[in-house]
Amino acid sequence: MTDTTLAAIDVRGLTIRYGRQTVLQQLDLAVPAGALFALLGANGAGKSTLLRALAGIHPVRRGVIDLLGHDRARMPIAVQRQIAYVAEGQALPAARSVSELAVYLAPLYPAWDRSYSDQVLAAFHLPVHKPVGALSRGQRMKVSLWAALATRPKVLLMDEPFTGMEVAVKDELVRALIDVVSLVETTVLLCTHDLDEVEMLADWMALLVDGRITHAAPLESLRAAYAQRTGLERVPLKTLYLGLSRSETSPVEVLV
Amino acid sequence: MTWWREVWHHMWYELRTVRWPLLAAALLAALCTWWAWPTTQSGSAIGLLVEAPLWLAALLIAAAVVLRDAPLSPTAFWSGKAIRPSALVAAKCLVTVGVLGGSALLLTAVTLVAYHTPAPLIATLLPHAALLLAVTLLFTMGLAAMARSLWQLPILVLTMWGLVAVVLLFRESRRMVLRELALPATLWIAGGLCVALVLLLALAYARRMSRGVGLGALLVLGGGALVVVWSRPPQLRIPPDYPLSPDSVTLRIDAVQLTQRADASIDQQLRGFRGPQVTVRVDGVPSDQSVQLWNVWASFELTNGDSARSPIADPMVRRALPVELATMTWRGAVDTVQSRVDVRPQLTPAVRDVLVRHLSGDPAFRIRRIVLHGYVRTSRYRRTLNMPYSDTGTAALPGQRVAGTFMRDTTGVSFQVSRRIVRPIGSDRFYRLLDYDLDDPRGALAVAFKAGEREVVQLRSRSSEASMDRVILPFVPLYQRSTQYRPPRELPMQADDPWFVGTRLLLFAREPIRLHPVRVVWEMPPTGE
Repeated sequence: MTDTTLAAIDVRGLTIRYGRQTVLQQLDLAVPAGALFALLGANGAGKSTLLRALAGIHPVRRGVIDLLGHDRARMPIAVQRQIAYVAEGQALPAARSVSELAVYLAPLYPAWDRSYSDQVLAAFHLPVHKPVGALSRGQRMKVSLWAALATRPKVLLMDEPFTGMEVAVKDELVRALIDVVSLVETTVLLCTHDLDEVEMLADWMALLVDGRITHAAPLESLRAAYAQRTGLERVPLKTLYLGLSRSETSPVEVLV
Repeated sequence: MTWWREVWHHMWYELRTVRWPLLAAALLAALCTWWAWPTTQSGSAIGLLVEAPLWLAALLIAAAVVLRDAPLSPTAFWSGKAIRPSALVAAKCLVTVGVLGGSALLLTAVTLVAYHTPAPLIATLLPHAALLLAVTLLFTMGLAAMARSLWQLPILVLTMWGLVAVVLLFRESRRMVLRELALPATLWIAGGLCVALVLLLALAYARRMSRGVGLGALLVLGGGALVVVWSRPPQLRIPPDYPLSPDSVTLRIDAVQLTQRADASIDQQLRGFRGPQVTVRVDGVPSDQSVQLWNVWASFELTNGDSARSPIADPMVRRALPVELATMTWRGAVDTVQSRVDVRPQLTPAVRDVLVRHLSGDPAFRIRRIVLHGYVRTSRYRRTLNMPYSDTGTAALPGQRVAGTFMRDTTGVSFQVSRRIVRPIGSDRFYRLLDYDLDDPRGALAVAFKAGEREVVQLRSRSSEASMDRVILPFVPLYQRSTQYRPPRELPMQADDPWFVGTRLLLFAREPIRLHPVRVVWEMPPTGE
């Protein structure tokens, strides 16, 4: 259940530059606790940068990021352990097996649920004793997702985790993700280009254009507002996305 | 999980990951040490062949430990995980420096112990060796931290060793800006640089500094560290008032080669000194054998009989006496270096053993470095030395010493002697100036001189045979040669006061040496003309 009164992720005035290029500019974003939040945007809009900043990978020099009520820059390790980050192309220890990874990761996360970990591994059909480097790309992505889910995170940041996966694997992962989120009430921020993923997963959506959030609202609210504005009876997600992307009007709704 | 528990957790994970490369490197090191030492010298071609893979393996492991969790890579496994950067850095440093460096250090210590090196000497050497290892490994780790993949590693290693080469060239140029630093300061600086490198690594992980800033800082820190550590072998200062005494006159013949049809014995005088004459005789040679080749380790420290300040009588001086000893490189090869411990150098059997074993173990040995020391003290007299070869001759002020030396043979046939320095100089710097690398495979002879009132005494080989693989140096005779002195501005001095000369000679040749229990007799008459 989405709790709109408490923002699990609260970003205020975030500005990130790569050299002279400004990637994110005075970005504000609030993700309610328990939301399945999809972040959409064109290539180079700054989605990955935003997620890396949220994950603590990219240093934040201007702006404030609050996660679970704590400043990202001074976040206690106990809070950090409630945040998981999964990204496409994330490296894994190639020489280690999944079982060895579990031995390594479990002590780092007090919330690591061994039985649930086994459950996810079984659901993902992952060979636990095979070196990760010998796994296929889809399997490695499953390992990344498993390593994130087994920590029972309160915030799950996912940067295009399903890119390039075959449909069956993607469906499998998405279903597993939905199960986990419903079970643990995890706040998910999903960065993706795939509208099908958004359709399947998200109940909130935000649009990132030129380093700023232009629209951020519950998905159904956006559909309704767009339908009302355009007179369409039914608004497919693709239409909504394209329409909002081209819209030069002020944001439909920005949660702060 | 507390910070320390997390460090241990990461460390064991790292150890488990690199256990096979570590074991392979350790095995390789042990094999190389067993096989190659002491038959090869550090710096020789074979030694380099042995050492280079070991160092490369160590550096690769160090870099791989860092690169597995590259701090600058946004896709690194540790990124986004609830891992304390400081704990991760500490674990990686412990694994790399602790295990890699520690094992190398242990190997060094074991080898030193096996060669009966006195404990104080080991204690003197090990910190320096530890710092050298730590700085090298940390620098490699720092470079690896600035990389994003293993593909950049060769470039990094080349960069690093290029820097080392520059440092060594810089050292060879003998224009070290930090030459004047005493050893304790060197240790402090090197230790401080180690800390700075660790902090830089921690910053790279925690703050994800930009690559340019990190590399720049690394180059500055690592370059500084290498300059300091590599340029300062563990030599210690001699106190300014180093007294000389007849008690310190020693000549030792460590080994002789016995051959047919040679003289039955040798009586050899060390000529050329105005001071006491030392006669050396070798007895105990079998009737069918004679002495042909000598390996002589002689130490002369002649004075005018100022026995009141005998080194034996003065414990402070005893502590300050220089000692030839052996230090180890990664695979345990020997370099002769000097240190300061509470023993008399001439009476240190362990030192002799090291050298004898070293000399006798390899038919093609060569000494990489010979450290000479010599003093000419003018504590009571004012004198201007203006030697024929002098280019920096300056007047010694009252109370200051004038030091000089002659180096060095490179041909093995005749000794091309050149004067190095004639000027008031601190003993520590003097040591630095006398620290030479002798790389000529045909043998080399370090020679010393005595500066007389109006003459210069030089050491030369009176008769020597040389070929590409054999040099025979029967002994080191001394002879006098008048030199062109300008009239010095002399102050009153006693007519018979000899100059103080301190010289250590080390002769060697490429002959296989059969150790034979000969009896060496040396005699030194009472000091005085």
